[in-house]
Amino acid sequence: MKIENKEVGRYLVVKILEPRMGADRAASFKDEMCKLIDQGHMAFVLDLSEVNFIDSTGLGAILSILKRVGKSGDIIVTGTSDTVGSMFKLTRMDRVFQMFPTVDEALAARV
Amino acid sequence: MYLPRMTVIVESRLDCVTLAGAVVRAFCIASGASEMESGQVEVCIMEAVNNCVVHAYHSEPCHAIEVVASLQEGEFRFEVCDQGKPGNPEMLRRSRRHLLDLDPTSLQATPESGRGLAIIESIMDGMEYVSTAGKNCFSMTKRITCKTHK
Repeated sequence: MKIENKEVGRYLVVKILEPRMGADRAASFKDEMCKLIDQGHMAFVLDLSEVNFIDSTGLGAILSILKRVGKSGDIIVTGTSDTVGSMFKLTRMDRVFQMFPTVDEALAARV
Repeated sequence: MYLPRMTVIVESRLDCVTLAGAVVRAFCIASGASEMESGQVEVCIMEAVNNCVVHAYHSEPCHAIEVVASLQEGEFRFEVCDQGKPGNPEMLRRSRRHLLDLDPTSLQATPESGRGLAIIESIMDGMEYVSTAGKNCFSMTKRITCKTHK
């Protein structure tokens, strides 16, 4: 899973650089995120603006990261396309994650 | 009368599942479905093919998964077939939509997987699972208002 990240305040902005988050990418996404958590990062802005497909496995991987950081951490989801956003709504994950249209809007609200 | 229909066969590997979903999505768009509807159909195809890879073939490669998409009188029909271990036909008897009810206050108890069928149930209008003569077929139907088939 190709990602890029940068620190802004207490948040690490993680941008997914691949267009799909399906079963063949979910495990490597979790691995990459767990490495960042192990480095001490607990608050993330997850930029999905390059992602145009997500299935239950991809959503489950993001949920697993939220569970991993627990209540002391934070994950904000940004940049979802209409199709990806519809999957968050369908699975009610839009109730679990704070969602913003862009990274800048998320950071303006939180940092 | 011309009936749009296509078949794609993919190997039982998770990195091959993408192909099945992408081809069916292209079929839906070419048949007049919207980008959003086609994207949601793609998710359902991916979920169904993932289930074949993981449950029917236990992630063993080199098996065939056949995906058939067709359109008749405004209704799309999709079949995902394998020749692996049959699933439990009872799995569709009860609604699984409750699996999509997330409780933000008890996240640690929330399973990370197992939502595939619930997603399909929410998106599709009908589902059927038939296992006969060593072939397992999961069928899904969805009525879509196609631009070219009004």
